[in-house]
Amino acid sequence: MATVHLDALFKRYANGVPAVNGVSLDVADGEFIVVVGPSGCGKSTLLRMIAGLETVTEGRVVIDGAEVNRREPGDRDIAMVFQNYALYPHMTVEGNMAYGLRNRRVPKAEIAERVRRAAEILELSELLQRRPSQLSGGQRQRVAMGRAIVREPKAFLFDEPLSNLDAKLRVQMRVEIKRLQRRLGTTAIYVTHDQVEAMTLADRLVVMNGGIAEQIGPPLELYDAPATTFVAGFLGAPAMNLLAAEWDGRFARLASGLALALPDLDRAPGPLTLGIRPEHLHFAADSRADATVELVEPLGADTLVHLRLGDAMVVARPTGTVGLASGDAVALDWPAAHIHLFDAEGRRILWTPSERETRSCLPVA
Amino acid sequence: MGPQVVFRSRVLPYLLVAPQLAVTLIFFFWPAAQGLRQSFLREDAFGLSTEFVGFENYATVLADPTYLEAFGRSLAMGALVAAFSMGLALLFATMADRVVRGAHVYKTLLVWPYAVAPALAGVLWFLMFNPTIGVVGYTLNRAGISWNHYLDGDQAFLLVVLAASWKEISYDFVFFLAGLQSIPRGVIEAAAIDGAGPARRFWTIVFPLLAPTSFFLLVVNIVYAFFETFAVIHATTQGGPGGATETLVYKVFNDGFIGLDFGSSAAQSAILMVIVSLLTVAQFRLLDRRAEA
Amino acid sequence: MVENRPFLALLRHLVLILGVALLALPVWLAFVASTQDGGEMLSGQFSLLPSGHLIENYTAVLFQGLASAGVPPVERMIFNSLTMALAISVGKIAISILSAFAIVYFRFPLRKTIFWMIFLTLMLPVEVRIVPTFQVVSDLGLLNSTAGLTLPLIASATATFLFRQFFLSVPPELAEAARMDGAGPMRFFTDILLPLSRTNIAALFVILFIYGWNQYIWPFVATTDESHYTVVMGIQRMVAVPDSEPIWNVVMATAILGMLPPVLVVLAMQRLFVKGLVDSEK
Repeated sequence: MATVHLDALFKRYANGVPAVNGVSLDVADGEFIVVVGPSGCGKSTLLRMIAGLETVTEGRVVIDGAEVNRREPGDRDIAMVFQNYALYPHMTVEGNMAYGLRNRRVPKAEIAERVRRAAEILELSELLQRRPSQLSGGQRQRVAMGRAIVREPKAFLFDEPLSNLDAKLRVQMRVEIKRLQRRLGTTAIYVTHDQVEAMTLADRLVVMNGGIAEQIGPPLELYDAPATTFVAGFLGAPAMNLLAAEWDGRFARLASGLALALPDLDRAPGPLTLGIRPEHLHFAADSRADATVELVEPLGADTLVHLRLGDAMVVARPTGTVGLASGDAVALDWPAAHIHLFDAEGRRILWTPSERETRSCLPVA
Repeated sequence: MGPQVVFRSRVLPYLLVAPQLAVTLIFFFWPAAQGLRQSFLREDAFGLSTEFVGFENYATVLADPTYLEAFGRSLAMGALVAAFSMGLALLFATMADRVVRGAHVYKTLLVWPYAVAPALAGVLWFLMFNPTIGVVGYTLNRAGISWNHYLDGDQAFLLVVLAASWKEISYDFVFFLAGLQSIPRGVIEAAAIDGAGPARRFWTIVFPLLAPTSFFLLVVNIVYAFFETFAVIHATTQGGPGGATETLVYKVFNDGFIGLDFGSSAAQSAILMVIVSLLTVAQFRLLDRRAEA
Repeated sequence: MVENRPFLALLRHLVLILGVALLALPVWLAFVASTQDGGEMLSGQFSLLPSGHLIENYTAVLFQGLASAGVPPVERMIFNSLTMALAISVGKIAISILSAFAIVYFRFPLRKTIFWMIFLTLMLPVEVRIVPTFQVVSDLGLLNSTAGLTLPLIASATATFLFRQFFLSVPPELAEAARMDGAGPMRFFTDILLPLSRTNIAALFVILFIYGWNQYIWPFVATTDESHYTVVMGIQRMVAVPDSEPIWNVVMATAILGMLPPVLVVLAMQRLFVKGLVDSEK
């Protein structure tokens, strides 16, 4: 158990391509950090630098107060679970789990005891003499976890550990990983591109894009107040509706011609991006026609309504079912409390209208 | 070229490559350099003095009609061996691919000749065609077809080709069978549904899909015929009768070891190396394409 | 395949049986000859069935050889062939697996140069560099020795390429996991890579054993002392007897004995053999 401290980490490859562009992060003891982002955002490279599998170009990796930049992975006292599990195919489950301990010359009796305990926790006791090829995907995943926990390391590193499992198993293992981490209290850093995993597992979330950390914080905080359009668009499915608008001092004018009053916004005229999550975009009982229904997708618990708004498409997500069909014209309600504003660079604009909760941004014809 | 993971060590990698590097340097580069040097030198008959003659050895070799004949002979041998062995191997492979019962037995009984040394293969075929005591040779003569490979150059040449092909069938068979078995069943079933009969399916679907394998085998067979037939020839005809089975590789050996004309032999080696390089490059190109496909 | 016509099935079996017979014929005739005595051989009465001198002929070649042609007992030559084949296959596998390991799992100055130097050996088979190789081996005083017989044949890149190819197909995460588990490079090599390469090593061994056993021209020039003769080259001394017909029944008994070990290896390890053959051409 330990703290992990990343100090302005940079990774540039030999050909000059930057993969990680100055990431700093403080991980508290026992904290579960999830690093999420699209492929190529540098999240795996970041994890591999912590593991010691990639050299650090610039910056420091500090584990438990000691800089480990130049330490071999095996000497960092951390364990890693790989996406393809990386089980040693010629060793039994027991051999896989014991290998790291044997290399560290842990006494035999203790190895046996630790493997036994880990196997019990992961319900692998019956499978100890099997080889990886004789196991199901879920069982292999457990063995990979077992190999990490027998080490009793300072931190767990997870590199997309669930992406090779089918959807049902993924949900089940996700819950198990969380429970296990809570039970052992071991610091964990978890890389994924799956935002559901990210939201559900993380104590704090790091959203990465283009080699930098766009935002770091508790999942719901990021969901409710994304710092950038990237974070806004990345978290949540379906994604937040992001609409380009022109602010003229009184109204935000969308390309479709719709103009929204943004009460109390004190800002010089200029372009901005207006965002609203599908679940916050309501239908108004008005006779106006702001948008046309293009497609209705009933999901049972709620419905996805794809709407055409001029040249743009937006999605609304009312609960239950709605009596709408393609081609219907509808009026939309824009609750001020749920509207996110971003500037031309995509950064969040602080905007706190008075009486936020009750006001709508009334469309003006 | 290699995984991203790398172990870090200053000395270890050099220790690991050291044995192979040492063997390669001493037993490959040193002789190769010697050979290259010799190809530019001329020694007098007693080996007492040598003089630098530039490309003269090469010029002599390339202007020598017997060398050019040997060149043509090697090419012809390559083409014939490839045609014989690939033709039969393809026939056997298509049959074995579709046989349900006994497939494994057939496979076993068709691959073992690969293990027979070329020199022994040559001796076997020589006995078989021996005009007086060989079953085939004797029968041919009895049937009025005059056969004596000790005297008839063309027959000796044909015999070398047959012995070499016999051994090579196994090799080609293994690759053709692997190629056939890698053709997805669905493709052939689709063709059957499209109304193509067995013969039509073979020529329109199977054969084109085997083309990469065939090209690859063609190159390998030619290289094989260039080099491995040496043992067949040396153990049987010794290049004769009248030079009718003298190939490029045989000449390198013969001019060097028997004729002691080191300059010429070395120049021939160098020319052969160029030929092998070209063939190897062609082969790698093909393999690349095969890997992409 | 798709249709099931009995006639076609029959035809296939017929073609295959003919093929098997065609491939076996030369060896069968050699075997028949090896069981005949001198008189039967030259009588011109051909038999397709073995005669009664099998044990007599084989004991003679195995333990007496053919002194008139300067050929030692076949037993001696088989021992030499075995030594050579084993030395070549074991030696080649050992040095190749180590250098392939270095080339795939390390980055070091001159790595590419060394790779290309090894690669170049593919361009010049031993048949072509035989004269200068003979001079070098002779200068080193290695004629008539196992080292001189095998080292020039070990200097080839095929096995290195096979191992390199295989190592590249091993998921890189295995090496990473081993590093996380505290294993250094050599421990990874012995604990993980070597066990994983078992099948490849075995397949390569089969191919190299045959390759080594069947070497002809190099042993022919590198051994001048008949106690170092190998069986495959020794047969040439039996056939090329000046001014007289070879003693064919003895030659054939020797040929049968000389091809038996590698053929048995192929038959016994057919699967590994096919794998080795296909892999080493990739």
